[in-house]
Amino acid sequence: MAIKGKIQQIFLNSFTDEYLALDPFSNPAAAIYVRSFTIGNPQIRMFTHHKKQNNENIKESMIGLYEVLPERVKAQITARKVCTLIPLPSSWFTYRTIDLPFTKSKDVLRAAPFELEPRLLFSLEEMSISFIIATKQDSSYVFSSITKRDTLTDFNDLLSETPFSNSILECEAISRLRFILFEKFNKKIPSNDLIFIDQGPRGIHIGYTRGIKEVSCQFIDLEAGPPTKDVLSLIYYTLRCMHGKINSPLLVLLEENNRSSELKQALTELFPHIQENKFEAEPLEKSVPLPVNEGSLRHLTGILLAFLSHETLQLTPIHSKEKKFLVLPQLRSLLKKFLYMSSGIMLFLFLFMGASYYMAKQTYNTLVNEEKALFMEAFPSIRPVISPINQARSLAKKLEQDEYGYASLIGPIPLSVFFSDIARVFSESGSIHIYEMSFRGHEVKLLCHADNMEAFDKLQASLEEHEKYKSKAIFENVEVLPDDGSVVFTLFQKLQSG
Amino acid sequence: MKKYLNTIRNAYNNLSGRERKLVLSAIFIAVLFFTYAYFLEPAFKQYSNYKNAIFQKERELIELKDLIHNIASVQNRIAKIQKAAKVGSSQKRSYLTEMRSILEKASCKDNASQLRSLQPVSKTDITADKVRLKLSELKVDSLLMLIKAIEEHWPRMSIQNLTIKRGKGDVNLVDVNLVVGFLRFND
Repeated sequence: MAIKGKIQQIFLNSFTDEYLALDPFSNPAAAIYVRSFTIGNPQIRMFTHHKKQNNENIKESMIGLYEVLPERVKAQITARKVCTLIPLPSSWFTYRTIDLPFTKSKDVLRAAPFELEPRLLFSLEEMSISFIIATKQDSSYVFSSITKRDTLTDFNDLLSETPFSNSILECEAISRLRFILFEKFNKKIPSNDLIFIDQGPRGIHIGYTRGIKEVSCQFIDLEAGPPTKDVLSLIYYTLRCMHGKINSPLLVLLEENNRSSELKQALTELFPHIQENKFEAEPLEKSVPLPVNEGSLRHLTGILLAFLSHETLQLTPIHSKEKKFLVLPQLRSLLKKFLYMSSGIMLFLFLFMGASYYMAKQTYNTLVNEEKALFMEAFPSIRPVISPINQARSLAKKLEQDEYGYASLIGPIPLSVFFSDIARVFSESGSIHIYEMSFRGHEVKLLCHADNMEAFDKLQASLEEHEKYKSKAIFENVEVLPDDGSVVFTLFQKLQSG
Repeated sequence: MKKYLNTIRNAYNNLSGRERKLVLSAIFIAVLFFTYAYFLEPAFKQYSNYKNAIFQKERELIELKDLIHNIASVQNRIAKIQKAAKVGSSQKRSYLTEMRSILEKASCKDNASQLRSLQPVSKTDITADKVRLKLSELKVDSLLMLIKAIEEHWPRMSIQNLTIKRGKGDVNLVDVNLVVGFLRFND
């Protein structure tokens, strides 16, 4: 049982992703713990928060947040078995956009910092820049998020003094959000399905659109404090309602507190049908199954903790000077695809091979049995051994030898029939006479005389058509006599025995 | 053993999520390789062998059916010969007497200038006694009657050698030299 439990544990660890997302910048500081399985729906396992005291700094908030976490989660953090994510506030970043007249990402990345430099307050060495490149037909649109390198280094140093020293700092999400807002909301509404989530100072908007006509939006009031279980339940309820309606791609947007009013204004202009509705919240169970995929799950944690995933946005992070902030979701996704595909192919091969092997074996056994049965039916007195065909061959050979021995003792039959045939053919052919006829073994030899060439030709044609005997008649020593034009010839004919 | 297992377990536990996935992927690839090398490939080979064997077996079955048919007809022919030899052995009259009676039946007795025994020929359990018969100035019709009379007793009695020559006088008469075999079981 112990071994079985350990195997189960190994499997559980191998095929599950556990996320702990923290927001130490908000008040209260909040944490959400989510487990997602390779197969099935992900689940929120825990949500907790720590109310900040007066003048409490970030480090103290994080330690305070750690204190309120359950012991099991703490153990997971210590054993580094959980992926801890900390989304950085967007106020740490400044954003710039550049248009470049080429499309090769290598060239774009080489040129972009130099294009940006005149527009920055500090030198490039002091800044950490991350780019998002959208390629058009013959140009590239580059969205860059820039922060001071010292800010990140200081925060890293601060993190190392807390239990969350191995956390991933999430800044790409913010960049992407900005990029999407700039690209989508300032220009035109995407024609495909869209879900957007806006966390404002007073609450959370969750919206859904399919073009301009079908718009729905719910507002969750958070004035009373941090998101409660009821709020979580409502978010789940809302997403579940939308999930049945939408087709891919699922796009989730997030806005931070200080930008929320602007976004809200933009949304209100774009979606005039937005109405505030009240929902009866479903009670949150011990674990809430979320009808969303892994990427969407990360977005949902972002609703609560200002975290946004890369994967759902269908954009690839291309460059980040701080390698630590660069996540490689593509590699992971490719690896997963490879594993699933190879497993599938292997399974298919196994099944196909097994079925083919079984069928081939069955067919072979059937043929072997059929051969034995046939042999036993034909030769009941002989017991078939490994190869009945060889037994049959040797038996046939022996019998043929015996028959050959006997056959040499007797002459052929149809000698009289042959005579009758010859007499008939000769009479039909005209004036042909037999001088001499001899029969030896199975062969008849006739020495004949035809009065003219026509009679000979007629006889030849008549005998060549004859298929009664073992072989065709052979004419030899054909000689035309010069005196009267008559033909002398010898005719050979083989007769069949028995 | 337990110590090594613990070492491996600890090493695995100390890995980060991504490293664990890489390790598991490597193990998975290794498992795939070994599965292919030790299970799939031999199975493919075995399957291919079975396919060839089926093809060969099908051909053998067709050949076996032909062989059975051939053997049956050979056995029938042999049985016929043996039956004829048995009849020959049970004959109380000598073959010369029998030959004379046939000559009489075919109305050729007067044309017979010679009737004598030749050296018999033996194969396994059957012997063929031979008689040489010379007939002169025989009508073709009578010759045909004689041949038919002999063939009525085939295969016990069979013509083994026959030479016909045109008569020197009347062109409708022929001279015949005939060897007839009589089958019997060896004494």
